Amino acid sequence: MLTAIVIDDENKVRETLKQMLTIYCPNISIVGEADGVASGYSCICKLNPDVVFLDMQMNDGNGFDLLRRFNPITFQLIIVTAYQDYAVKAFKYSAVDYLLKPIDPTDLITAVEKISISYNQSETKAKFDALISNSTKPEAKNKKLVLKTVVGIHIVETDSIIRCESHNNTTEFIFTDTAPIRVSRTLKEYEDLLSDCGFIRCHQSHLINPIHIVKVIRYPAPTIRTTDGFSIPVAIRKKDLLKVIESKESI
Amino acid sequence: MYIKLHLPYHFNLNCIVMHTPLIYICFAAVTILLTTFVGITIYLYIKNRSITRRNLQVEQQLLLSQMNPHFVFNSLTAIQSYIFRNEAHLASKYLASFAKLIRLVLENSRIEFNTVEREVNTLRYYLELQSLRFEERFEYHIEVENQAEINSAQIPPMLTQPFIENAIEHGFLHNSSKGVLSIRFIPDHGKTLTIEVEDNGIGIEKSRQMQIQAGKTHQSLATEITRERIRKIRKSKGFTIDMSITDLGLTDSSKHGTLVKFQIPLQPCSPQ
Repeated sequence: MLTAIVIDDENKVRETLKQMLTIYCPNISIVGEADGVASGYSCICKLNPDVVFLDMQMNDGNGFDLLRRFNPITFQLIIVTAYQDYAVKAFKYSAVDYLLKPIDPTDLITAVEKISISYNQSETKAKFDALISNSTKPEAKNKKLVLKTVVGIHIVETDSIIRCESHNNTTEFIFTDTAPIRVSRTLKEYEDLLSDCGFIRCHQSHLINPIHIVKVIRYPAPTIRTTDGFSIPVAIRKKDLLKVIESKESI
Repeated sequence: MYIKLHLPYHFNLNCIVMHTPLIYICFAAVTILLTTFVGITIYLYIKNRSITRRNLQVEQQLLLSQMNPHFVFNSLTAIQSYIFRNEAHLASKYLASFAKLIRLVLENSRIEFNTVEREVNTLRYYLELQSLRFEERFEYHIEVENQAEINSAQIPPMLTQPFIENAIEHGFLHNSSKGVLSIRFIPDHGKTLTIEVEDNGIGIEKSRQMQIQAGKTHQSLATEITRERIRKIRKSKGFTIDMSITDLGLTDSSKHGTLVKFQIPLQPCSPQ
C-alpha cells in the first residue's frame, strides 16, 4: 500500500482524482490533500507521503515553486497538468511522468504501476534535479536532458551532445566528453524535443547540434563535419539547411 | 549579318527622333507612366499582402483567446468530475453547454458581427462553464435593457470575453468575499450601445503590480487584441468603437474592481 496526497487548487479536480484512484488503483491510499503551493508544502512535510499528485498551475504559484522547496526529494511524483507548453517540454527533457487533464484512466493506471514497481531514490532525485534546473531557465539553450538506458539513467547537458544517430528504433548520442549512450527511443522524439536547442535533422538518421559543426562542405556531396571528426551526409532535399547553417556561422 | 540587321533599325529610330520629336516625347511619357503604374501596383500588392497577414494573425490570436487551451481542458476536467460523481444529468448538461459554446465560437470566427442576442448567448455559455470550474469564486449577472432597441447594434463577436476571462482568472483570485461580475448592455438614446463589464476584484492596477512583482513581464493581451480589433473595424467599416478601462479603486477608495466600457454606434455612420 502506498500513501498519497493530491495537490490541486480546484476542489473538483481533487475529488475526481481521489475517486479515480479508489476505483482504478486500490494500492494507493489517499492520506491528505492541499489546494496550493504553501498548503501543499506543509501537507507533504506533515504526512510524508510515498506519492504526490501535483497540479502545475495553482493560485499561489506553480508546481515548480513547490518542488524547489524540497531538496532532496522524498516522494514519488506524478504531475497532473491541463496544458502548458513549456512545462510539458520540461517534463519531457527530464523524463518525468505526467498526466494530462482530463485524466485518462488507462494513463493513470500505467503511471501508478510504474512507480509501484520500481522506486529508485537516486533515479528520482536525478530526474528532479534536471527538472528543477530546466524549469528555472525555460528559455536557456543549454538544458539538462535525462536519458534512460537499460543500465540506469544519465543526465547530460544538451551543449555536450555533438550529434544523435538513429539505429533502427534506437538513438545513439555522441558526446564531447563521455562515451556514447544508446537509448531505445526514436530519433524523431528527440528531434521534436531538441529542436528547441537548435538541433538540426540534416539526414534521416542524423540529428546534429549546430554548435559542434566544424565545417560545411558543398561539393562533391553536401556534408557537415562535426567536432568529433565525423562527416555527416546532408539529405538532398535538406540542402537548403546548409545556407541556414552558413549564415548562422558567419554571425 | 549583325550590321545588316542593326543598321536599318538604328536608321529608322534616328529618323523618327529627328523628324517627329512629339512621338519621342509621347514614347517617353508612356514609358514613365507605365513604370509608375507598375510600381504602384507592386507597392499596393505588397502592402495588401502584409495587411492580410496581419489580419490573419489578429484572427488567430482572437480565436485562441476565446478557445484558450487552459479553458478548454479545465472545462472538460470539470465535466469529468460530474461523471465520476455519478451525476449523469449535470455531466450531460455541461457537456451540451460546452458543445454549444464551441459551435458558437467556431461560427463567430466566420462572421464579423454578432447581434446582442447572439452575443449574450455566447457569453452565457462561456460564463456557465467558467462558473462550473470556479463555483465558489464568483457569481455573474447579465443585464440587457430594451433588447429590441439595441438589436441592430453590430458587436464584434465576444468583444468583452478577454476582459471577463481576466476578471475571473486574475481579478477575483485575491478576493476574501465572493466575486461579482456584472455585464450590462445599455442603449443610449437610440444612438449608441454601451456594454459594461464590471467586477469587484482587485482592480487592474493592483493586478498589474502583482504581475510585475511576481517577475512576469505579462503584457495585457486582452487590451492589446481588443484595441487591434477596434482599429481594424474603424479602417474597414468606418465606425469607431470607444473603449475605456477604469480601475474603480482609483476614483473611489471605498471601492475595488475594474470597469471596462465599450460604446458602439447603433447605426454605423460613414467615415466622415
